[in-house]
Amino acid sequence: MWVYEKRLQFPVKITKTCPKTAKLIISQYGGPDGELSASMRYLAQRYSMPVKSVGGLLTDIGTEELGHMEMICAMVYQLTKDLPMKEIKESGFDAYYIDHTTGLWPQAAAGLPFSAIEFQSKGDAITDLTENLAAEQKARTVYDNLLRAITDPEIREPLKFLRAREIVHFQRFGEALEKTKETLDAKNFYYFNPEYDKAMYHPGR
Amino acid sequence: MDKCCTNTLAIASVPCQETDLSNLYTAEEALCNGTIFPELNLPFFITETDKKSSCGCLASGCCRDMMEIMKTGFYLDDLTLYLDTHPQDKKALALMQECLAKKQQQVCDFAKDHFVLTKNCIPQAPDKGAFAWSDGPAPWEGVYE
Repeated sequence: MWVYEKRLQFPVKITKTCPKTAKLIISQYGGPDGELSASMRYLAQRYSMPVKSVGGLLTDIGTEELGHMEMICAMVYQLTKDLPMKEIKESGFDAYYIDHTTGLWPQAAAGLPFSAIEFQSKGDAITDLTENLAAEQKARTVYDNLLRAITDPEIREPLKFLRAREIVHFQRFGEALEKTKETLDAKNFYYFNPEYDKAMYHPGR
Repeated sequence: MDKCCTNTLAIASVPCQETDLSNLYTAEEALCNGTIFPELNLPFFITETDKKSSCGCLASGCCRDMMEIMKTGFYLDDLTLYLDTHPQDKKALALMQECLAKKQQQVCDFAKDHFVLTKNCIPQAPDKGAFAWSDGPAPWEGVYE
């Protein structure tokens, strides 16, 4: 169950529309390393995690990512609010406009629709936590790329905040991986899958 | 955490964060930097020349009470993730209790003075006859006055 708080995690207040920038930022909504992908990845993986506290961490980070998705959507919304037709055409926002007007729809910067194919839930704790470490790095790179391309401070501040969160999440997933490793035999972490081969898994020992 | 399984071949290792929590950012610095831990604040060189005062949370003319809730809320968010992997840290636990109480009070006061942020606070809304859950601007509108 989730409880909604009617606020953003970090303020988003963009006073100047820019559909060109919206086209870039929308990738962190529906793109391969976006916030929607992130939350769905972690919230899917948590059910079968063998270490309970790691399932808890996945819930908390997955929940925070939903909040990040809301921030990104707020940015795209404010960047495209009440756009005149002339601006839509000149900025190259017209292709998106034809299908979605100025509504929000999860897609990547190049127009590819959001897809679950872009993330994994593999049913193996080591594999999934390693995927998550990579996912946080990929998202950080996207924020780096956005920060190179965008100069408006009103847009940069929330992007910098979101980038910083990727690094903290990486650290926590690293610690979750260490916690999982502690329940396994260091001589061979790959002898069995702790999520599936339960008869072989004795975390208390 | 008790121990770190570092120095093992063919598997990723990240050192566990070890801190006595003595150097934490203030709530305002934490929100601006995206973490409560100075040692995890690793900025990108491209942003080095950004004006320090351009921190959106301070420059946007944000409603002060909303800002305070965002600061406390974020402190809690980051502290929760730390506790998820450091559940034995009594100092962090005490800090969390303190933040939780503060946040609860702030959200309650906000419902009285501005509008309802959570359904739990509907009883605090001044107009008892109205459906207070629909009060206030939508979060994505960027209205913080």
